[in-house]
Amino acid sequence: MRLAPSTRRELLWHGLAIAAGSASGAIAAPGVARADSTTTTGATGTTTTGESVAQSDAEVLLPVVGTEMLGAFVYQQVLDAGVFTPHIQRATETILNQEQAHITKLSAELVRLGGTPPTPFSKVSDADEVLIAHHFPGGLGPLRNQHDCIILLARIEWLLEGAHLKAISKLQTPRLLELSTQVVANEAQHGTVLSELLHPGDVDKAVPGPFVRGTG
Amino acid sequence: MSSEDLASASRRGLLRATGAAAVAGAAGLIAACGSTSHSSSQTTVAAPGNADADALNHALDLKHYMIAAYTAATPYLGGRAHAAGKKFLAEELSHASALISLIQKAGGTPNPPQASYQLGHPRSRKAILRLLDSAEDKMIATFIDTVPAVTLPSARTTLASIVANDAQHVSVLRLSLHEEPIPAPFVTGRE
Repeated sequence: MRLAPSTRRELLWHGLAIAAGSASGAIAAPGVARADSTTTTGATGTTTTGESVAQSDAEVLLPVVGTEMLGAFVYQQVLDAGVFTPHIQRATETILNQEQAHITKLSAELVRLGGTPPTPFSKVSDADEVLIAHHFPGGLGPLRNQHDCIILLARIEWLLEGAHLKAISKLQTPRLLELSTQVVANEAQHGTVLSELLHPGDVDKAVPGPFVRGTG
Repeated sequence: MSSEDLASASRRGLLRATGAAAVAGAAGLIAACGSTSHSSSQTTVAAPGNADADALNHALDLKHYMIAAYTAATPYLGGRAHAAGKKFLAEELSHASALISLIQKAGGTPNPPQASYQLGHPRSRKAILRLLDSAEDKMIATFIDTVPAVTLPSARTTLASIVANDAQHVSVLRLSLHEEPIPAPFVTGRE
């Protein structure tokens, strides 16, 4: 499953570019099938937008796995920064363990579909590149204090929610639809727990609205 | 709630009464949110062969139950749990409204709420929170089964978005119960 760095980078970049959607259109790689792509057809140059190009489930899962790997990497970096109190450190470790369970399960599903999961991030600069493309100001940047780190992790959860919800609109296999729904629900719970760490007892912040939308 | 352990008879009576009133009130609110009004004489069965509407109506039935449960239970909760109950009730109403719209879009007729619901006999604040937690879990499990059963991609996304919000409710309820808010990496409603 190991890939050469350039291939890994290319795959991950492509995958995450899709996950980012139109908001990050600038980083969308050419030649990657996008179900929601805008195409120009015929001599008339008629532009149509719609689900004209169907993606396979493997193509849909790839950016989801990439985003989960980004999330796990960011969690690990934050934990390694050592800015958390023991209580918050434990809570964050629990979340990271759950993100890793998502990666394991989703990667297995991707392989089962004939796909190849990207290798995990190993360099901050790689993660920063993707984070900045997703409008995370400063990327991982200086992880100075507890507050900033929790905010960063909450934003990662929103990104993960968005990646799964986007996948759910495209996946065809019932088992994968159920799996992605189970995971997006867990990501939403992570957001709630992170908010509780920052604003204990504030239910309006812990559960911001009736529909989890995510970002990206 | 002045006591953690209320007399079971009075509590049962209160919950039943409040539950019935809640359903009636919730029904009015839901109807107001939807694009059409519903009368009791309307059919509650979706058009034959309309699998999406059938599946969504099953989900709506559980939302009606959840609305009744929050409406009946919230007055007996205090402090943070009370605030959460009020908020979650409003969110359940939003979910029901969204489901009604989806059912109508699928060509079906949304099921109305029942006249009353059996909400059990919780005798303490903790028992009420457990009732809500259990009902949320049951609903989550059903909604996860429903996601692949509907064909419209936007409906699937809406259902998943609702499941995620309900999972947040569960986390807050578990925090109120001093239990682990994220017990498992995959939310199934059966953990």
